Amino acid sequence: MKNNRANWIIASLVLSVMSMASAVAANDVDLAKLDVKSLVAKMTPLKGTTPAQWRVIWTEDASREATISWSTAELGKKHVVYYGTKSGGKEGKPALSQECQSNGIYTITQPKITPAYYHHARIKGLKPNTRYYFVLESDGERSREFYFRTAPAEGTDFTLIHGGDSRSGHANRCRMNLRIAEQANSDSKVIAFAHGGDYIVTGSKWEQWRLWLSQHELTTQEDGRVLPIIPTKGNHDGGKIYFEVFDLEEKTKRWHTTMLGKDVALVTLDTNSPAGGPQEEWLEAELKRLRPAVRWLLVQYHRPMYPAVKGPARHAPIFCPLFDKYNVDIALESDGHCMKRTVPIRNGKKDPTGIIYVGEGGLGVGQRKTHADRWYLKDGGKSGSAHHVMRLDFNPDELRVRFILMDGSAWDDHTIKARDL
Amino acid sequence: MGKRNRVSERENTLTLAAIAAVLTVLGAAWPVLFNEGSAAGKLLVRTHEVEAAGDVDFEAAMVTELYGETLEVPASDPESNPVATAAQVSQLQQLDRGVAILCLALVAGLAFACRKWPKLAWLYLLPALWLLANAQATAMNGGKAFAELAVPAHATRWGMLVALALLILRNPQSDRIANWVLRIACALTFAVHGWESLQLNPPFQDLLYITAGHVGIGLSEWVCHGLLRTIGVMDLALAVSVVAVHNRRMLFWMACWGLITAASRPVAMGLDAWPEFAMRLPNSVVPLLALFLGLQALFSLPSSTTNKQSKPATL
Repeated sequence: MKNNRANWIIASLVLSVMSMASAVAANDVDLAKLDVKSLVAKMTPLKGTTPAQWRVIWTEDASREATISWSTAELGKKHVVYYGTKSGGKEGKPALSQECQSNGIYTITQPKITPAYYHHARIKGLKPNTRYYFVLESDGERSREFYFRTAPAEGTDFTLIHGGDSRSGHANRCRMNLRIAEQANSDSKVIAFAHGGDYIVTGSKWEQWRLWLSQHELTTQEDGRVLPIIPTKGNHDGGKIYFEVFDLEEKTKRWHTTMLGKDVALVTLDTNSPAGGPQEEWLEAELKRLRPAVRWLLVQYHRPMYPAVKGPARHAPIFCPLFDKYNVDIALESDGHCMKRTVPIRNGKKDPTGIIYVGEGGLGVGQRKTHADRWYLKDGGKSGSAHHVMRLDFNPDELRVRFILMDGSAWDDHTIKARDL
Repeated sequence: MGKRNRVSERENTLTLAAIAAVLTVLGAAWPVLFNEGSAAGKLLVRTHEVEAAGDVDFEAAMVTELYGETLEVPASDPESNPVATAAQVSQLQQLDRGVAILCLALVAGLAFACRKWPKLAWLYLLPALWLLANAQATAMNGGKAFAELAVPAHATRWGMLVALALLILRNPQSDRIANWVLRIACALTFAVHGWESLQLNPPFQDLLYITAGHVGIGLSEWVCHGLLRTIGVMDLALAVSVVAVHNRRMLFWMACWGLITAASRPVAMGLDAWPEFAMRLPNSVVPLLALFLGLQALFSLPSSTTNKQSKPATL
């Protein structure tokens, strides 16, 4: 009897270990050898009015609003998103609906490229920290059911993923998209993905954007979870298509603040526009308004102020003094195609009360060698070269910043204390 | 005495141009040696990485499956070892640096060697070609406003080296050709910059905002735009004038304006931006060379507004 019980316990233990191992294997991503066919099987062909290239976009109030967007190969007549807090089940659809407020053709300048159409449904009045299921429908053709979670109304117990420079390197871009999905899959606290710009090489070429959009579907998890994207414009994203993809007004929405609840603000700037003039005025007013109100104040933009490879952005003389004045917590940068975390910087010098600048883009583009001897990258700073995303884990007292490489390992793990303001 | 003065003036002018050539190439080589590499280097690296990643086939397969289109792609190797790719990229970057150093050494050496062996002046064409190749690569890389206009925008840089090679030969025929090289290079650069100003190029706006900020002036958007549009009209007018007529005051103003705009970079961005100043020195030196050369443009004006010498200046 005792032997039977012992055997049973041992067998249970062995089974538990085996199932844990397989769960780890299932959660991890085999990125070594990508099979195009199996990748394409996860993506939706652009055909007829079949909804494809879906994305959920956050630019303002992430607790209560979202834009749900997709593409079709034909214009179609009616484009609706069905959404709600309850799943519609396998054949049904959620209870609420919103017809797309904006439909149009992507700007195509090259001949012989098949046109495609964008559809944006702007949804307001959502509940914070709530799972919303949604189904896309264009002229009766429906997508499968997806879902996303709104940001909490308050509090800081969530994670943001940030990365930039998908640009060139399709295979590596797909790998990094799968890694993003894996990060979200392994941790339900991940609420959104902020892209630092340079999605493609030439912003005016639809044939490059369409591949990015299709490959972006790989960030969707198996169970249909879609990570909302918070976009930034890179220097290679010139032209109209960027604005058409992300439902942004070219003249009025080049910079914006995304509120991830009332305690975390992500200010997105545009390093393609002049630093001075309207952007400077807006930035100062925005930082002045936000700093006393939020726990964590982040900025993101494309060209780095304290770069690891290139020279500094021309925006540095205007942006950095404002960051210092209003005690920004962290700056998220891209463009350099490398990894870096600076020392804390204030007034152009190392200062323990200063701002840490992290970046600089590893979502697929070839990585560059850094100049590790720059003063802000040594004696407490760090730099390297590998494809990566950054994980920002928020809590009331600390912000943990980790660089997650393509193989899932962490290159850097740094914690920033909340400012005592 | 007059002839001796003219010879001395020519020598001084050529010395000035030779020094400007060294600084221009140094300014262009600086990011190659200390930042991310030249535009041509970046283009080669990106092309190589795409090939090494087997991306062309990968992309073509996706395009066929997802969009039903067929991409014509050249035969390529399957995805290669990342370590091997990194080593090859490193070699390309070393080649990039090597070429930059060679061009720098050439212009520095030629500044002295051409005094004794003028025929070596043809070697100025090598760094001129390097600058031209980088301009073309900038256009192909994209990623900045008006990148597609880089070749004419940088015309004074590579044009100055071509003109220098011709001027050192010291004969009327090469002087006449150099005169047109200088004028056309000026016209192209000023025309492109004028166009960019009219289009309110964001970096130009920031130069005004930041410079005004340094002297405590908060420039409003409409003032900034007004200034840029005025500058744009002026630059376009100068571009047309430099090929149309020979006017000493106009050429002198172009030289001054070229120096002011070159200096605006370190003024706005700090002394670390000196390579940006050095690369733009030809915007000042090229009109100055045309001024000292004193040859005619397309149309002759009455003698009060042109160089009083009717013959080409045998400097």
